[in-house]
Amino acid sequence: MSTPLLQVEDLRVRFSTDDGIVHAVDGISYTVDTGQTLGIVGESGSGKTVSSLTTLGLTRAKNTTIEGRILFEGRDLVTLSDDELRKIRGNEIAMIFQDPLSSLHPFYKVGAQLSEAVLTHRSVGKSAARARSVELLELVGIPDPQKRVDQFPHEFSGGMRQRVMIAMALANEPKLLIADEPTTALDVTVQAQILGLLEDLQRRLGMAIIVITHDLGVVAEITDHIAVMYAGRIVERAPTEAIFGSPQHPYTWGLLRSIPRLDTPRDEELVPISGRPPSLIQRPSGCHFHPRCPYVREAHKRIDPRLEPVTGDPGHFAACLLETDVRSRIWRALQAGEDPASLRHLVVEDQQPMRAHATHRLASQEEL
Amino acid sequence: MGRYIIRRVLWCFAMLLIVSAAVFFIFYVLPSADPAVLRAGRNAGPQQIAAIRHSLGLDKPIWQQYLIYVRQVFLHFDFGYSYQYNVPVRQLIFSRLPATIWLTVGAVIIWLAIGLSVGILSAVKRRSILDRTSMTTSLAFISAPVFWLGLVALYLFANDIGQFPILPGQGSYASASTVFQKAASMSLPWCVLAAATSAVYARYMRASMIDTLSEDYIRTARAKGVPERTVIRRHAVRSAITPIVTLLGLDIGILLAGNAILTETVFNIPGVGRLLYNAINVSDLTTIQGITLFGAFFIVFFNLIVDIAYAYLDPRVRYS
Amino acid sequence: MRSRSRLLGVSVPVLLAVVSIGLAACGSSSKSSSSGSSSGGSSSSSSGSSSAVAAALAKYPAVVTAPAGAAKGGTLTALSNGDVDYIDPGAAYYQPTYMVDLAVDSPLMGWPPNDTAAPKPLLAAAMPVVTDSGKTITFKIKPNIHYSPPLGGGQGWSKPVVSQDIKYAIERGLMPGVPNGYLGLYFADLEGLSQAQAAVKKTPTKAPDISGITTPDSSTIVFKLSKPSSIGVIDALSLPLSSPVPEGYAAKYDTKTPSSTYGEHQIDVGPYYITNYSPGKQIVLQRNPNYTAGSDFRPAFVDKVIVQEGFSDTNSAVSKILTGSDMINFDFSATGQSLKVAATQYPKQLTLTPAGGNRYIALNTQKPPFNNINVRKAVIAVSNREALRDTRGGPLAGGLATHFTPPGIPGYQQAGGAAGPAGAQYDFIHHPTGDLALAESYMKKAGYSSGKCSGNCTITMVSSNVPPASDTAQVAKAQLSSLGFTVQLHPVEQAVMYTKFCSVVANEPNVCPNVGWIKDFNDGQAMIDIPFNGGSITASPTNNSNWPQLNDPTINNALNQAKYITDPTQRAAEYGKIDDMITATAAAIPWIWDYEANVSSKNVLPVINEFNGLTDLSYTSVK
Repeated sequence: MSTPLLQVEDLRVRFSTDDGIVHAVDGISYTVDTGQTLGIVGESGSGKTVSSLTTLGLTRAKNTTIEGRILFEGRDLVTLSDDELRKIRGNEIAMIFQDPLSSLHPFYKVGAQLSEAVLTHRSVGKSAARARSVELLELVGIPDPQKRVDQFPHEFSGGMRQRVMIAMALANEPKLLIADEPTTALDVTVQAQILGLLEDLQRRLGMAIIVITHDLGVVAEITDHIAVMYAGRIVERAPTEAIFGSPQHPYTWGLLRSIPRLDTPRDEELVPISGRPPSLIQRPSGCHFHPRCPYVREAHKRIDPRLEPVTGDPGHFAACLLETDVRSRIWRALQAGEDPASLRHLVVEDQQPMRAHATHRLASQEEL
Repeated sequence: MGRYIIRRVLWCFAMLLIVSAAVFFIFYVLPSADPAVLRAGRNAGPQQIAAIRHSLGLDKPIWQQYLIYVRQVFLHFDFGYSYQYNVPVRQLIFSRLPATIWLTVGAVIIWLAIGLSVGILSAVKRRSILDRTSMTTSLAFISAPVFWLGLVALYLFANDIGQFPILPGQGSYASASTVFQKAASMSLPWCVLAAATSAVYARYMRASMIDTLSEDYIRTARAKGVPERTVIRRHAVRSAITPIVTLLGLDIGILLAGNAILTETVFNIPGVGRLLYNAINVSDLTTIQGITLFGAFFIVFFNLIVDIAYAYLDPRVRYS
Repeated sequence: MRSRSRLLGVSVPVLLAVVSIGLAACGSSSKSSSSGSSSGGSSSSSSGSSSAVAAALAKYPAVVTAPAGAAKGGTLTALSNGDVDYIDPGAAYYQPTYMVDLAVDSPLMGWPPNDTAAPKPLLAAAMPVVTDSGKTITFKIKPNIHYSPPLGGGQGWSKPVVSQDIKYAIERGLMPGVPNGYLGLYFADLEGLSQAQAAVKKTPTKAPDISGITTPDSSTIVFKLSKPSSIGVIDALSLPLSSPVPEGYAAKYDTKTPSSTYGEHQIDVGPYYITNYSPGKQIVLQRNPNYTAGSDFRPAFVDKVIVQEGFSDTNSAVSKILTGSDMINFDFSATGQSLKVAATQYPKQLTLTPAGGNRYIALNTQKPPFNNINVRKAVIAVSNREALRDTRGGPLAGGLATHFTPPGIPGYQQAGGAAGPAGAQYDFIHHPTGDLALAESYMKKAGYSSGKCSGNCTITMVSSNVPPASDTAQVAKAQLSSLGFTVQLHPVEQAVMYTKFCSVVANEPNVCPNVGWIKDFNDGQAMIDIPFNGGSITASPTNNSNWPQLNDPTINNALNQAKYITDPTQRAAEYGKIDDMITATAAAIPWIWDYEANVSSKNVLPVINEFNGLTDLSYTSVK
């Protein structure tokens, strides 16, 4: 197995605020291989964006504590100096953001912003940078790039702007592209185009992509692996087919069931996950998901689960105190259309053997 | 763009007409001294006062006086004669403008240099000691009355009456002949006038910068790997400065209209502000009118400049 | 005779500029009076009763003669708050303007700094010949007097001065474009004056002919009067009005409306001439190249005088003068804090001269409650006049007034001198710090049984809105309140105070606290006629200077007769008597006889002209 391009190991990011310490990222680990696409999925406040920003060093501040390792091609980005990190940003690792109108400077021409991306990391002449800008616009499929390169961001449509952002990210042929909610601000049809573009670019340029989103529908298309985050932790991680085929976490089930589907009857209601994302300052005790989990047992309120492999499914990890077979049964029942409330008996039944299982799974209640 | 400018210029004329009418009206409503009596001097009999009133055209009905005045101004650029000094108002104003322009230009440069840099630094190093100190100091300077500040400056630094005589003091502008002497005589007034204004600009710039630095495009720039200094300079300041431009245009217009009266009084600078103040004290209506119109013109003109500058600075505006 | 207001050319701290024509109280000028008149026994002013005044003045004496060894050359800078009232000598009224005018103009008569008994010939070759029982005055003028180059450049006037130029200079003062405040006053008895006034009404831009002024030849000018008021007329011929103006040069400027522009293009005959006039900014005087040195008594030491205007803060301006070099004050004097500093730290650079002026609080005698003489007496009795004087700086600022003729004016001693008129009927004036019991007794006599006002007790007061005048008004208000009056005080700008309220008969409030008068000449008429003559009220009802609106037939008659008395001793005695009559009416509260406090830089040798208490530019020198 070749060395992964990006290896995040037990990353923790905490912010000291006036209201208390915010545990934005609480011990996550994942890897991305060259040419592969990872999707990070979760609600807002799950820590998905913070982990990526931290990769680029954009969360470094006086009130921020960063622990763990982020290995990029073997170098630990957490320990790199600001200057060295800056050389990687926009160069070997690039990032695009959610709202392309506000993410592009309104006062500068698109060409100038693209050229800036180039000139920051390459010592070439201005005209060479401009030529490259035109080339990049063409690459992302913007028609008439010679003319458009001298226009301002507000002269582009939403989808076009996102293409410009992608072009800007690709200026220096990055090895890793992080796309934070790349389609959230766009129409559905444009979404598909952008996703298609990303796929296409990945094939041609051989770069790895991390797609961060709250929308499972987006990641279904283009990702190889998916990591589901909740309350600063990864609660499930698996290849994409496994996530959709045999999800092993109640939160993932909730996400999947809340996706609107074309093949369900029109009057069937969407099934949201009850409750709200927890405060990252005062997190719930035990399993952080337990207040919203329909299948919670008493023990879950005290014991904090770790990300463990799922028996019988290599490469599939879940952080849940329920047994694998219990989970599989619940999922099958849910797929058959059953209501979560009616499935509690599946959980309760198996409580006894659970106890023995639970004792040697001592998760620390202490917050770091 | 051209049509926009023409429209604004026409509006400028309309504004000036309104302003001149308002001044006329105010002058007649508020109790002010009677210029004919003032001009007539001591012990003038009623006939003499009446004769002077007639020669000044003050015995005509108000609306007629106003129309005559408007015609003179807009067709002949003639602002009449000062009741007090008996010289043409236009000549009087033009003789005072250079001093006010000296004062304004120098003060603007200083307050922009200080205010903007302090504002930017304070925003970038938010909540640091530098930030807190500069904001507190700026509050002090904004609160201090200009007149008091000027007198303190004189008593400290004026080379004739100050404790540490290093800079030219009161009245030195009038006796300055070379450009260098004029600039030297302006150094204390510039500092005093710029003190409060730079404090205001520092606070505005700081707020504007803090707003700008939280914008998404700043994050994008950093994500591109642009050095922080360049992010501040090229991305943040460029955006943060646009509201300041609006402020600056107004401030320059107002200063040229005579708003530096306090500074001019303390330092005995023969500028437009003092002229206006003296004119008000002796009810010299023609001078008051003239200065007010000039002032209105400056303010409107600089507003126009600012609007054009804004369109140049913010490309989104050009298409609205 | 001049009120303390300066109508035009005035900016804010008007009261800082004490306009004065003064005479050193100690100086017995009778020594040099060739006309044989003594200046009203002022030689005794240093004795007994005015010792406080004399003592103060003796500490800061003014030099009134050119010092031995005064050097020629140098530039003098005079710091000024405001501008001159008119740069045109025909219209000038303002004392500080006279500082300039007496250096650049040559009226027929003039005042050497140490001689104030009567004017001396300046442009006149000798004292005039008075004939026809005081109704005809004949002057001969000096030959070969030439005009300076013109202000503002251009072609001047190369011909020498002729008597017709003086005639024209006086006649142009009748035009509305040259609003002279004296013609109708001092020259009222000139023959043909009323016809000339009628003529100028028809053609306001042409100077009319006054038939009473004739010029039999180019070096003679004759004034014919209908009444024997020659003393007043000769005095008045020391005003800049009679400095020659050639019609051939000036007429083209005099035709301009609304005002003549001759002032900005004037040609001068004095030892200096105006080379630059920027209104509100500065006036520059330089040596007149066409003036023959020695042609009159003015030595003219300095080469150049710059009047720099716009110094609005007296304290820093005085400080600048005291610590700097080549500077004097122009239209303000040291008051309050700056006066104290000068007196204690720079005593040799300060001079105190009686300004020949008074200040009083006028009570409107034409409407209640002050139409009752007992109420007025009560108000004067309760007034703490020392507190009033303190608002101007205390004893250094002037003598405590007890009547209306200040020291140095003939009639001062006759009216009672420093102590004031004696007698029980004047008891209300003899309590400088106020006497509440006496005041209450007068109120009771007026019908207020409690001794304080009751019933409708609201009175109006309009004052100036700048210190120290505003401070004086506040003190006066408090003093009136102690008698139960509710005072509605309205502070306004000086100019507004006069032209809209106090000088407008129909509009005058109950109390005008910031009024006063300054002499034009050392003569009782110049001091108490206009301000207390009932005739003033009807003569100019919108520009009235009789602020108490006193209209007592006995006093009116006495004033109207007194101006024709030619014997100086008799004149002084009569005016002193009238002053006491006025005091007896309690129409106003006299509280100070100002000193003019002049300051100069260390290297300046100032000479004060006793005539107006201001520095004489033709005599001052720099080391």
